[in-house]
Amino acid sequence: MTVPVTYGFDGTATSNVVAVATTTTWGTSTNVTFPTSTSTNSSSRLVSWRPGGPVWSGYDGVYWDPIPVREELDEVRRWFYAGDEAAARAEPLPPDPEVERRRQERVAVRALARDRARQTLLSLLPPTERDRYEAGEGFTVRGSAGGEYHVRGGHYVRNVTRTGGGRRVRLCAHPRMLVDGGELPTEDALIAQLLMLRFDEPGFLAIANAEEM
Amino acid sequence: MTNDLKVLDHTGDTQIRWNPSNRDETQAAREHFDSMKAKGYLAYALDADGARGEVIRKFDPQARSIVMTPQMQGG
Repeated sequence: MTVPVTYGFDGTATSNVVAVATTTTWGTSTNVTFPTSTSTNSSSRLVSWRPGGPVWSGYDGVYWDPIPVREELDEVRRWFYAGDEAAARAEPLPPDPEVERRRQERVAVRALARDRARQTLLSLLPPTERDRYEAGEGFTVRGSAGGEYHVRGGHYVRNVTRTGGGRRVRLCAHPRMLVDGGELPTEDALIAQLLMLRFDEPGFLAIANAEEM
Repeated sequence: MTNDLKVLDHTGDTQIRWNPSNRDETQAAREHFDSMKAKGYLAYALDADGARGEVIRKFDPQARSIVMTPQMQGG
């Protein structure tokens, strides 16, 4: 199903965008993908929800932001039933101040969580790898069984590459990201990958999905 | 001497400190450790900079630093 909608990109965006949504239903949950474009950005936003359950939204299916059910469902409804694309282009729906206030609160809480996680991650890296990570280059880990791995920062999916000893292999293993009703910061996921490789490399390889590069 | 248990979560982490000579503090840390293990968390006992350490399955009151991470899964 394709539905023209309009919505504010998120609480931090400087402009509203117009999008066309497609929906898919998996079991009892519904995913809505919003391909979006602005003058400075082109990406997609995925919102999924399960009746009575948590609502998730994210970008490119990688960065997820858990959002309390009620207000996001209201927002999804506003997007979904906006209907007229031409009208939507002309006059974006006004933001709900209360929703916006709560969104900004969540953004602030998540920023604090990310900062804590980042500080912990940096404390576990040797100085050279700390500098590389701060420069946006990820970091290298020596596994407990002797393997060498490069871990990219920024996200936690398919971000580990076995670099030593012959062919390069991309690996994907990460912690369960939804914890006590909130999402683990990405840097915490990197810590989990770092520690498991460093102290239980065989365990990591046993669960990771592998893909030759 | 104060030891430290750090459990990764949606706030970044939850931290519990204990002095191994203090029975109540040690017991509180042990109970938190056990409750997170029951949820499937993995635990690592680390040295000061995290360079050396090991996987642990039981609470070690003498460990200077313990980090617990949610269970890992293939992506």
